[in-house]
Amino acid sequence: MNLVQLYTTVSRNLNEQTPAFYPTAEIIAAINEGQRLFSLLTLVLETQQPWTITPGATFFNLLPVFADMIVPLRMSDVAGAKIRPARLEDLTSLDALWPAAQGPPFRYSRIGADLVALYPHPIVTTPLFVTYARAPHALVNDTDVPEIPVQYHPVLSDYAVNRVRQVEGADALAKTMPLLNGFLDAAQACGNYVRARNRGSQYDVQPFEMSAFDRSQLLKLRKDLVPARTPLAAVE
Amino acid sequence: MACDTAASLSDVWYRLGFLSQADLNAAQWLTSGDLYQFADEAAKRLAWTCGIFKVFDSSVAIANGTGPVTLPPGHVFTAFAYIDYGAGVIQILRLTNVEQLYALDAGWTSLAGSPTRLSFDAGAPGSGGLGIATLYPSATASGSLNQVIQQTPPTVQAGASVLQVTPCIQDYFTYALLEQALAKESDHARPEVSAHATERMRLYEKVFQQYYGPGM
Repeated sequence: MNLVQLYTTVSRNLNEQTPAFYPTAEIIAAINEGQRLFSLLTLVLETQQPWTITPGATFFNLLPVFADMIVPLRMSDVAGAKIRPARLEDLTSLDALWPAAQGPPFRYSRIGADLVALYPHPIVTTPLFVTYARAPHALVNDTDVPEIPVQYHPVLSDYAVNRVRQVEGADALAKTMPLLNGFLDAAQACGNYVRARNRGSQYDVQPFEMSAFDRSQLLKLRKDLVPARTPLAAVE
Repeated sequence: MACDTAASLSDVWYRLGFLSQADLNAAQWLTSGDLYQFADEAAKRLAWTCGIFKVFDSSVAIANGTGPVTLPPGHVFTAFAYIDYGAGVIQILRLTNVEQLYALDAGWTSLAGSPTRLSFDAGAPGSGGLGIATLYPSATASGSLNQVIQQTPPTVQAGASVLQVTPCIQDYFTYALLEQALAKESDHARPEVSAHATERMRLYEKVFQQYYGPGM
């Protein structure tokens, strides 16, 4: 499905033959949000890029190099040998002077959103390859196609219906919660597939454990919080 | 393509019931300044709930006699610390609480030497201790205190809204704006959607905790 097919589907599911109350721009924003969340939950989009390390430092920030990175999955040297992951505590146990150790790196530690420590740190300019999960490119043109696997394209329109209903809230939003649940089910299925694949590929990070997340509060609106707006009937 | 929270502002006006960004700008009950304030609060909340804003900091200098040191602004916690004396000479510091320091050495406040431990609750004698870390023993040589710290990001505001995190986090901030704006007491309040936004944020926080580590 391309973008025009997606937002047309969403409009029709919202009972609009031509966008009026729900603007096309808002629907497109909702589809893009759905794709970002799907990619974040599943890590389904990945890429491998070269990374040239300048010598003299132990800690590096990756986002200035890979701006669309969600999380690094694997590092390897130019020969393809894996640089193994380690926690900072592991590195300290391995070598009490590890921040000062020099040489070709064979361990790395992933810290926070984009900080990485290399052990040892190289003393000459060293190329590495970084495989990382990335964020999707935004859908802008009508012919743009979502990057997530094609079988999951329909759940993007489901997600978008749920999101644009947030403007109304109350029952209008509550009725679309099964669509959000379907989206999360799809993300769980895709995440399970990616997890199995990542284990086979010996990647260092697995997708989010959707099965361990309690969705019950997410998928229902609190009945005790009634909308504060005055109902139209009362105004009339 | 880092996360620009300004994108969240243009992403919420429709869901807040405005006809356009200009309509939002003209609103009385909510301003862009309010929304930036909500984004800033969300960033600070995220710094406490998820280990996402970790940075390498080498801004703290130590000298002969240094015991207590002032931590960098926005410091939340330290994950790793060592002293770099230069020329490849370093000493990794063990993070130790004050109770353990007293157990180790009743006269720890007066001992000088090469620091091997760092305490965050010892504070300077006579001070409250917040924002201060204490080297044990007090340093006798100059160097640099290098730390991997969790730090609250700079204040999010108009013109300074970019955070060095993955662009997917933009939607976390979008829901933070919705959560706060729709919970405001006004004719436009939609508390049930605000509560739903809170649950959406909880999902994002769980994801960030798995990928980037826990917070405090």
